[in-house]
Amino acid sequence: MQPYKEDELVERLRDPASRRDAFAQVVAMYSEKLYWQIRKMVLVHDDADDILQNTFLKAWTNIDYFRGDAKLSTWLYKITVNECLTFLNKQRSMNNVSIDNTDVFLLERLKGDDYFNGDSVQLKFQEAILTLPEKQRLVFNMKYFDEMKYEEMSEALGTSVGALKASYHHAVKKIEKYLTKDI
Amino acid sequence: MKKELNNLERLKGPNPFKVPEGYFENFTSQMMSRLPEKKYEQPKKATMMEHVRPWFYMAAVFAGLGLFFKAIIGFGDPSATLSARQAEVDVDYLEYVESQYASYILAEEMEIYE
Repeated sequence: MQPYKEDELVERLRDPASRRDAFAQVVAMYSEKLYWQIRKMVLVHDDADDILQNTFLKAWTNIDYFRGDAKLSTWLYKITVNECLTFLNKQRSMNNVSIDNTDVFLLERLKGDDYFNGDSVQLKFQEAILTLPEKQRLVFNMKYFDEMKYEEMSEALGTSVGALKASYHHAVKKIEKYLTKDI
Repeated sequence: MKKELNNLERLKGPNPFKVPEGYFENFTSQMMSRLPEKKYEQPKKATMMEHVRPWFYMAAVFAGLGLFFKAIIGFGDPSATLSARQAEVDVDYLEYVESQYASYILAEEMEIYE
């Protein structure tokens, strides 16, 4: 792949003649990164695959609205987060789960997923993460698994760096507490 | 906090989540085949009428305002004042003619009785 220059890529996205090729480059560059972000939120491969496709479809249909004020990755993260939250809300209403309750119901779907081969400790860890409120879970996943910078997370989630640090700290404490409660 | 993070670090072993073989390699081509063609719309050229229309509207607004003020404070209009003066002159003239005519009739009647 050629060295990535965001300015040039954004220019090519704006030009109708090169738009499609440029977008193919965007998909190639970001699909894996975005997939893991989604997968950590919804756990099951098929759901993550659907959401990833919807994310790029939305990005393609709204590409004219991308003005280049924010980074391309930030814009894509925002769409991804919205798609994830929409999916989770639908799942909650289908499973009659109140918005205040945790998403532990997703664990049953994970157990039936062919593309998960974690042991009981990993399953317990996922269960602990699912006890977090969805926004806190997003923050935890971005920091713990993707090792994203707080500044980048701040742009994608529209939350201050201080609030994100506090949220991550609380998330870690909650998970620790959950994992040690039966010991 | 350090201790907590260290405890969680232990769980960062191999990724338990898997994907089908060749998933990421094939994703881009599959995704691109699903995308609809994006129609590029040429910016529409404005017609002469579209250029002139705002000026018409503005002229209509001013004309409307003019009529409105004329209707409200029409007595201040110089032409209206002139018409009033003309009317006064006409009345004076008619009164003069009437008085002359009345004098003539009276004189005639006096001659009859004399």
